[in-house]
Amino acid sequence: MLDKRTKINYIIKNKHLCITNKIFDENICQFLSDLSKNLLKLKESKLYPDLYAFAYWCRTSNIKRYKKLYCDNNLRIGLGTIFHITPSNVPTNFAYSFVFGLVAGNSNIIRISNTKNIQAEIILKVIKILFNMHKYKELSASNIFIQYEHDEEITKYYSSYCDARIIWGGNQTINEIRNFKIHEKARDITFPDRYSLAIIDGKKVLSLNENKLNSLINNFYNDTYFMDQNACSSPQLIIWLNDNKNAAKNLFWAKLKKLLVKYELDEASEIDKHTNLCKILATSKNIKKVEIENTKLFKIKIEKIDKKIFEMRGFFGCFVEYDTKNINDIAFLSNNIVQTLSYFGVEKSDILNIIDKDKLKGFDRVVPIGKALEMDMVWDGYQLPYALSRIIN
Amino acid sequence: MLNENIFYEPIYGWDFEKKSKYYDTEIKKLTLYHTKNCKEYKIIVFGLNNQNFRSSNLENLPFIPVKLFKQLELMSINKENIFKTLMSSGTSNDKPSVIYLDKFNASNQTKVLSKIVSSYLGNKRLPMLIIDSKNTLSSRKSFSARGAAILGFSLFGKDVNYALNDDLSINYEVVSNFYNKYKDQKVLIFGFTHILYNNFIKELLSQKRFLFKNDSVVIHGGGWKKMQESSITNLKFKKLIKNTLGLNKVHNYYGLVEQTGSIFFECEFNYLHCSIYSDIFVRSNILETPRSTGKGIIQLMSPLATSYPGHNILTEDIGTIIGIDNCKCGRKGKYFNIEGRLKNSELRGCSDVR
Repeated sequence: MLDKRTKINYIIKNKHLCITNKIFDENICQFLSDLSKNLLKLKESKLYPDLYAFAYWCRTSNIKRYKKLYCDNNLRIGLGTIFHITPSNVPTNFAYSFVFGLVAGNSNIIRISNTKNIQAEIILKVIKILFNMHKYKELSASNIFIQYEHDEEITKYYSSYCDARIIWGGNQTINEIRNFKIHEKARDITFPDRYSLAIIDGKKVLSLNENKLNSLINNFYNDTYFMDQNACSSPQLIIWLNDNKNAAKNLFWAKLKKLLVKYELDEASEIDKHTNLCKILATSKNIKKVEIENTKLFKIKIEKIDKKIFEMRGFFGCFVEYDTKNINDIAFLSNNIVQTLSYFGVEKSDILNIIDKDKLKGFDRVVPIGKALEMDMVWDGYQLPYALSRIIN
Repeated sequence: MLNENIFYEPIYGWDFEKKSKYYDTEIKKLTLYHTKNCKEYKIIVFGLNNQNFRSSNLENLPFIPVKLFKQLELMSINKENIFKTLMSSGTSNDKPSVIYLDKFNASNQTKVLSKIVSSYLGNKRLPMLIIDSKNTLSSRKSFSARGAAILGFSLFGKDVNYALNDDLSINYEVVSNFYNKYKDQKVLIFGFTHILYNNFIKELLSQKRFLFKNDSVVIHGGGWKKMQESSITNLKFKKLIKNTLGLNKVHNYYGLVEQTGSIFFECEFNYLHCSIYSDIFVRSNILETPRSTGKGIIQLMSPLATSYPGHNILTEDIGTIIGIDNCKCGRKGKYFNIEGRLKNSELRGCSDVR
């Protein structure tokens, strides 16, 4: 038992029972549908695109689609209790993690970071209201949301009794949490630091009309600046295909610069970004040129892709650029750390072919530009409804 | 590389014109010197397209952000010539800045510190009470910024006593003995700002049991971040010290481990002053040209930094340059106030790379 003196802030606390269900259980799908409807009703969901994206993601039709995709003739039941350790700086991440645990038929203990954010508060408020309804009595009894300051005792306690542990938040967090044993039968699902890139066909960019170009730029902005280019699926590297005369690049960046007027960057962050650029310069080879457009847009042009590329990490809009005529060059990036390849003007099937043919490591996601941050039931190569449930044969 | 002649000049005696001319030549020379002797520095300044430093204005010369000294080993000397390394007192999850000094650079820092401080204290050594524990000086070869400051300032004292125990609580026996011995003499009290406040003054506030002779001097510096947290202003703190210790003179100073020695001392009118060994600019952002007036992010230059490329650095402090050459105290050069540390907003995103 946990010592009574431990300082846990129970945001949503009920008697915690371990109740398991079949995956995509009817009551759970109903709950998600209600959660979606109630969130979309709020005027705040218009103010926060990430809150809106979450609410829209768990809408009735989308969950139905997933249900169809994952429910087969097999009997699949939740593992038991899932202990979720969620990251501090992606406001809606905990909610997705919760949904993964729920649809897989589990009871959940969700640790939320102490960082205050409005999106999380709104989602929790709605969950609380739904939990008070009679039809969700069982859900309410089997899910708790907690906050606590760094405290080994608490992490140890929940780790010791969960059936699976989901750890978000990068390598350091994962290594720290892994010091605490879980049951021999329990499993860890970890989401470590990743590296992501984009590939853009220059010719296709130049052939776009004004509207389509604007939408590409908007999509790119959402994939990068929306999360300070610090989400694991935000591209660090941009591979430019067929643009040796730079016409597409010039157009693309000029358009983006106009959009960047709305991006806010404080002085301390600017200095951090500049310091990081200096560090990248001093520690990398193969840099051809650095272009500082303004404080919001830095570009580092490289001649060659080698292993050092994974250390050239930018944030707040600091991109590495590489020019090629050959799409097969993505093979230089074959590494487990590579997560999302977002593309424009290229066929997804061509990319998948290269990954298959050249037996590339990494490349867990291949998505169009604009969908880099979009969550899915498949993440980092896991089919979460299956990874968090068991099949009975 | 730093001509000895500068040590014979009046340390607050250069007017704007004379100083600008000297800095224009010397900082350019140093920029070139460091590109030749520090590989990383060269790649950085050339990479940032900042290669024409001979023809550019002093203001447009390349600077190094202080945080880079936490991330890279930057030095313009061979490793075997490292005489001393200085380290900033970073927080627990923060790497410290590391500054590599050769004998020449270290001795110039000591000389300059001594010139600046003795211009305020006179040449006579005073009985000295250091508001810290002796433990802070555990290693001889590598020093924390606090240790370096204590060691530097203790040269101005005699019969040096440490007022705090290892756990930074007051060692009343030492303080009482010191007080009883010297209460009728002018003494020097030195400490790091936040330690002086939290571990000494705050404890003694209500007691008023050590009222020193009123011409005694308190010198304190560093620890701006923590003072910001206690939301106590410099002037309020000054008053508090005066009331608690019964003395009249309190000097704050501003200094960075990246430019040790050439510190900015507070004058009788509560302004921080540049000596001839350092200069200050402020800028609105990393790309705009720095200014010599108004408020902004502080950029510091000093011809003393020869063994590492710290002659032109961008700090994370905000300050206001009040004027040049015309402070009521009579000292020439720029004078300014510090307003605190830039605040970092929370970084978004799931990876924890910063």
